[in-house]
Amino acid sequence: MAALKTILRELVGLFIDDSSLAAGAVVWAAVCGWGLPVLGVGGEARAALLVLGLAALLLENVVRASGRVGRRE
Amino acid sequence: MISWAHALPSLTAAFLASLVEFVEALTVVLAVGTVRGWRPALFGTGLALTSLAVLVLALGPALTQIPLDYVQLGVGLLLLLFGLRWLRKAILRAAGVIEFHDEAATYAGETALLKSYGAARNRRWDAVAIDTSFKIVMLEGIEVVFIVIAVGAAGGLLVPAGIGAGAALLVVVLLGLVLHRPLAKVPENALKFAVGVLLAAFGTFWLGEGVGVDWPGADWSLLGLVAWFLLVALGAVRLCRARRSAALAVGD
Repeated sequence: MAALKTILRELVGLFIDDSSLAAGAVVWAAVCGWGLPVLGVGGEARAALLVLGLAALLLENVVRASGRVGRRE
Repeated sequence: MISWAHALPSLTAAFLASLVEFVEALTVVLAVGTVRGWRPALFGTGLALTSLAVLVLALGPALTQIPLDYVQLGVGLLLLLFGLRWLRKAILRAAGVIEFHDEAATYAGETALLKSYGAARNRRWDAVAIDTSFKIVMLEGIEVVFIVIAVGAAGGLLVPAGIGAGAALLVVVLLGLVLHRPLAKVPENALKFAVGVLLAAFGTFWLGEGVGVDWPGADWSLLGLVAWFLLVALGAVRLCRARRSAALAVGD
């Protein structure tokens, strides 16, 4: 049972290390997939926005983390 | 006909990502074998590999029953999260914000822990050794299975991805047999950086396919995504170094 719990915890940990980055990526993907078409944004523009948004999320996250130097992960 | 634009990145991503996972598993199995004996270490490893094979055989065919759109969406999202997680950590390590992973330290820690349990009551059945090697191979193996499915399933590229993972296993097993010590000199962060870029690009591509965006250049945009994430990650390292220096200067 303990081994199973460890495996499950590790499995979740595979995808989520920083919850704000994971949540941001999921929300942004949903916006690009289902929100923007409602506003009439085209398929190629949504592709560009998806890519730019994900890069912005990653950059914001690592730069923010760099301001908290001295901690261990 | 398999497109090289997909097959080569799939094979490379699966090889590099699996290499990192197998190196981590090898470190612990080596510690178990050295401290508690090779028979239980290899028994635990074999048990985990058999369990993984059963898991793959049981769940693999189910994957083909799911409509492709859902596979692309699900696999793309998981792959993106997985890739961003690796890329984030690799960027922060490269920028000196967090410490590097040290296989030699892991080996030393694992060896000390295994010694602290004392000798097994039954020399033929060392539960501590079997449990330790089973858990690490199972954990890292599940990650490898996921990586192979993730980089291969959505594009019908399970074979190249499987070949990549198999090649990584072969390399690590051979190096382990020859060296008999942890592969501490493997540039793990550089590997994670490269794999993070590849997985983030794959994840974005399949997620985009799943939610119905139109990729300019169709499948070839995958190469553009790889270049984009590489550029962003390299830029992020520079930004993080500057930010870290500024934060340290304020701290002084």
